[in-house]
Amino acid sequence: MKGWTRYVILGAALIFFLFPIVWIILTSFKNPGEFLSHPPKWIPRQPNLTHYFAVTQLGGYKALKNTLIVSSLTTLISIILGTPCAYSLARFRVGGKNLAFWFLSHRMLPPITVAFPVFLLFRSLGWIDTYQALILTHLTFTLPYVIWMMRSFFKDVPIEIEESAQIDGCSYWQIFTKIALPLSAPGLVATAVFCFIFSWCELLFGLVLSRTEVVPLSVQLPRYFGQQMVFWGEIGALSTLSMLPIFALTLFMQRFLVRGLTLGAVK
Amino acid sequence: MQSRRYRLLAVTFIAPSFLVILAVVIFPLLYSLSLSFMHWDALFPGRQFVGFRNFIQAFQDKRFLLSFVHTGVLLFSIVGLEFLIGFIIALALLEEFYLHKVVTALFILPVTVIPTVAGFMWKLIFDAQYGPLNHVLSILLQRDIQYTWLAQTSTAYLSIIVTDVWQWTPFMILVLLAGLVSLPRDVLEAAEMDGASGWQKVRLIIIPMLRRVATVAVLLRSLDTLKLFDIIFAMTQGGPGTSTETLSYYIYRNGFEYFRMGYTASLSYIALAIVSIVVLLLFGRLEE
Amino acid sequence: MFKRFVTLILVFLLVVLLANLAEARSAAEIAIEEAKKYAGQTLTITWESGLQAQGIRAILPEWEEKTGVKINLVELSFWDLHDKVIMEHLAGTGAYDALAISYAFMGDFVSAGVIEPIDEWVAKYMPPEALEDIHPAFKRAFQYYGDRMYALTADGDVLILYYRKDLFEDENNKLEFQAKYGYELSPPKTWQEFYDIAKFFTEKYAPEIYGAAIQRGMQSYSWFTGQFIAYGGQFFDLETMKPLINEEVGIKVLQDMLKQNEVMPPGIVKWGFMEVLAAWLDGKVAMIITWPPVGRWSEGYGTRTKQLAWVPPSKVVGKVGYAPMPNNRSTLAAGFSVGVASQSKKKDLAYFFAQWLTSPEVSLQVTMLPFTLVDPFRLSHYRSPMYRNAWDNAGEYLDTLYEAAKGGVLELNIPGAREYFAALEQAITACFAGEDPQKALNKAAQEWENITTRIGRENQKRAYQAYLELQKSIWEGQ
Repeated sequence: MKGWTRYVILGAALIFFLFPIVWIILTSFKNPGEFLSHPPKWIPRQPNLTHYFAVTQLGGYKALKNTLIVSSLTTLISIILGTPCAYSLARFRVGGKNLAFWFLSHRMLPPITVAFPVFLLFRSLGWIDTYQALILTHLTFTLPYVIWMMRSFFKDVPIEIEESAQIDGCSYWQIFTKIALPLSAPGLVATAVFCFIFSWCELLFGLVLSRTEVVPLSVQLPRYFGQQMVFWGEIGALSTLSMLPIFALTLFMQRFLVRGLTLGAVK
Repeated sequence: MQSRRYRLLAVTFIAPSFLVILAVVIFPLLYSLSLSFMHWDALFPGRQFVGFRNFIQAFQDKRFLLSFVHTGVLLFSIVGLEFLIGFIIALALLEEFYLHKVVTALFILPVTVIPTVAGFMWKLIFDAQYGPLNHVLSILLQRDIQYTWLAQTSTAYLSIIVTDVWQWTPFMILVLLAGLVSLPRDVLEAAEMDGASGWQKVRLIIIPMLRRVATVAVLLRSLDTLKLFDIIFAMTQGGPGTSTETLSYYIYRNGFEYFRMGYTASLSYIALAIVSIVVLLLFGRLEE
Repeated sequence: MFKRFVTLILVFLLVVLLANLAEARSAAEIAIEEAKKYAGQTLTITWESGLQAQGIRAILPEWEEKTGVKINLVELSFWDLHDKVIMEHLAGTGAYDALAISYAFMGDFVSAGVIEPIDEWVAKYMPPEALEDIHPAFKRAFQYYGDRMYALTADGDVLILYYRKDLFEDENNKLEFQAKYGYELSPPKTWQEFYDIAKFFTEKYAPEIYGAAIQRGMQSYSWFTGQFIAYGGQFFDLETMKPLINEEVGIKVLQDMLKQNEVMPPGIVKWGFMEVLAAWLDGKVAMIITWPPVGRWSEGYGTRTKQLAWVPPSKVVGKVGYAPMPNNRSTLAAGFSVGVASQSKKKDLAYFFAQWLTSPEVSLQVTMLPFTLVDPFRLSHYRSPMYRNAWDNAGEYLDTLYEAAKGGVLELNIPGAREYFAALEQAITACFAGEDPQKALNKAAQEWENITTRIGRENQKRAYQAYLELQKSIWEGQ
C-alpha cells in the first residue's frame, strides 16, 4: 500500500482506536455539568481531580488493591506451578502432545460453564468472597496458558546445550534451573505479563465469587452504574487508573505480544 | 536407576498443575453433573431427581436456542470485520515510516483494556444525549440527532460489534503484521517486477502465503467470541428485549439472577459439550 | 378532608404523647439503650449504592457514637440487593446482618428463608405509637408478608406527577387547549388526558419544551403496572394462574406507552432517572412522573450541598405543581424497608438498628436531608412543620405524596417477582425497539407461565391472592 491512502487509513484507524480511551480519560476530569450536557462538552473547562478522590470513598482503591493482589498472586502461582510442568511436557515428553493439549483446552472453556459448579463448591467450603477463591479460579485459565507458552519457549532452547550439560554431570534439576530457565527468561517474563493482564481483565468469576472484601475492578465499575444516577466521572477515573499500569506493562513487552496472544502459534 | 529418577522428576513437575485443574475444573464439573439431573430451585426448599427433564427442557427453551443464534451472528460479524480491518491496517503498517514503532504501539492499547471498561467507554460514546457520536452526527447532518443506539435491536448489535472490533482488531493487526513481515521479500519483489498490481499481489501472493497465520488468528478470535459475556454485561444486558442475549449471558442469568440451579447446571453442560467439540475439531491445527 | 384527618391524628397523638411523657421512651431511645450492650461489635448492612447510601451514611456517625456499634455499609445496586443477597444466603456465610428490602423482593426472601420474622421484637421493643405513625399503605405492604411482619419501612417511595404550573396556568395555553380538546387544561386525571396534554405542549413548544418525560430506559414495568392497574388489569387469572398481561388491557397499555413516547423528547426510550431529572430542572418538559426526591430538588432545596453538585441548578423553582398519577393510581415503585437476615449472628442488634433508623425522630432527620433519596413515609413526616415550611408549597407536596400512596398501586410481591418483572421489562423494551405489542406480551406471558409452572402453581395462586387482598386493603385505607 502506498502514498496517501495509507496515511488516511492509518490516521482514521488511530482516531478510532484511541478516541474512546481519550474520551474516558477526559471524562474523568470533567465536572458533572460537563459530561451530563447535551450536546456534550469535549474539553473540561476546569480539569479537576474530584472523581479521583471520590472513588476512594466508593471502594475504588480497595478494588484496585484487590485486583493487584489477585493478579500478582495468580501470576506468581501460575508461573511456579506451570513452568516445571511445561518443562516436563517439553523435555520429558510426559503424556505426549495429548496431555499438553488437555491442559490447553481449559484455556478455551467458556468460564460460565465452570463458574456455576465452582460457585457451589466454594460455597460449601465457605470460600465465597476470599482471595483464594478468585485466585484458584483465575488459575483455570492462566495455568494452562503458562504451561502451553512455556512449553513452546522451552522447545526453543537448543537441546544440544542441555545434552552437553548432562554429560558434564548436571542433574535434571540443575539443567532446568541453571540452563533452561535462564535461556527462556524473556519468554517467562512475557508469559507472566500476559497472565497478569488476563487476570486483571477477568469479570465473570469476580462477579460470582466476590461480595465486599475482594471485589476486583471489573466488578466494582458496574456498581457506579446506579439506578438513579450514572457516576460517569467515577467510572472515568477508575477506568483510567485501571488502564495506565497495563499500558506501561504492554509497551514494555511489545516484542512478545504476538507470540503471547496467539498462544505461541505465530512467532 | 537414572530413568526412575527421570520419571519421578517428570511426574513431580506435572503433578501440582494437574491437581489444581482437577480440583478447580474437573471436580466441580463432576459435582454439577449430578445437579443437572435435578430439579432444584434455590428459592424453594428441596431437590428432586428428574432424569433428563432439564436437558429436554433446554432444547425446547426458545431463549436458549436463540442465544446460540445471537452468539453466532455476533461471532461471524465480529470475526469477519476484525479480520478485514485488521488485514487492511496490517498492510498499511507493513512498510517502515516515520514514527512506525510508536504508531504500532498505540494500536495495541485497546487489547489490554478491561472488557467491562471497554463496554462502558462505548456505552458513553453511544449515549443518545451525552455521547460524542450523536454530537458529531448532528454537526455533520446539520440537525439535532438523539438516536438511541442501544434501544434498537439492529443498532444494539452494531454497537456491540463496534466495541468488540475496537478491542480486538489490534490483535488481528499484530498477528497478521507478524505474518506479513515474515513473508519472503524476493517473491513480492519478483511479482512487482512482473508488473503485478497491488490488488493482484494481495490476492495471488499474500493471501495464500498468509493462510496459516490467518487461520490461527481467526480460530483464536472465534473461540473467544463464543464466550462473549463482558461487553454484553456492560452495554445491553441482553436487551432490547432479549435480542442480544448470548450463550454465556443467558446461562449466567439463569444461575445468578433466577437461581434455577439444576437447569443452569444442565445448560452449562450443553454449552460445554458444544464448545469442547468445536475446540477438539479446530484446535489441533494450532500447533501444526 | 385530609386536613381534618391530620388534625384528628395530631390531637390523638398529642394526647398519647402527653399521657406517656412521664415514663415513655421513644423507639429510637429504646433501640439505642439495647444496642449499647453490643458496643464494640460491627453490624453489616446492605444498602442501595449511590445516593441512597449517601443519605444513610450521613447519620451513621450518630448511631456509632451513641451505641459504640460500628456499621459496615455494603453498597449494592438495586437488583443486587435481591440477587447478591440471595446468593449470599445460599453461600451460607451469614455475612449480612440487616438488609435493605424492596417489598417486591419479599416473596422471594420469605420463601428462600433469607429474612427473619420480626413480630416478637416489635412486640417487645417497639412503642405502639411509633408503628401507628407509619402511613397505612406502607405499614401493610412494606412490612408484612402473609401474616407475619418481616421489615420496618424506611423509605416511602411513590411515583407522582410533577407539572409546570406556569405553563398550565397560562391563559393562552388554557384557551388553545380548551378549543382543541374540548375540556379544561389541568393536571391529567386519566392517561388519555395525560397524552392529550403532552401532545399539546410538544406540538406547541418543541424542541424548547416537550409535553412530558418518563424514564423509559429502566424499570419501565413500574409505569406499566400503574397504568395497567388503573385500567383494571389483572396480572393472572386467579383460578388457573394463567397470565393475563397479553390480553386487551396489557396491549392497550403498551400501545399507549408507545404513543406517549412519540410526544416525549427524542431518545426517551433510553432515558433513566437522571435524564428525566436533568431535563425537568432545565425547564425542558411540562410534566414528569417520577420519584419524590425530584420534588425537593426542583425547589433547589439543598442542591447546593456537596453530594448534589451533579444536580443541575433548577430553573423551575416555584413553578412546580403536584398530582397523583392519572386515575389516582400511583405506583408504589421500589421503596425500601429494613429487615433482619436469618443467617445473621447478631439478629437482635440488627433489629435494634432497624428500629433506630426507621424511628420517627431519626427517619424525619433522614428524609429531610437534601441529598437523600429517602422519602416521607410517616404521618409525622407529612405533617412536620419543619418539612412543610421547607419551601413555598412543600405542604402541597407532602399532601400529594400522602394521598398518592393511599391510592397506591402495588407491584407484584409474589415469589419470583424479579423474574416476572424481567420478562415484562423485556417485552416493553422489545416493543420500544419495534416489536408488535401483542407478540411481545405473548412472549412475556409464556415466560410468566413457565415461571409459575416452575415455582408451583398452587403456591403462586395463594401468593397472588394475598397480593390482591393486600392491594385492596390499601385502597380501603385499612
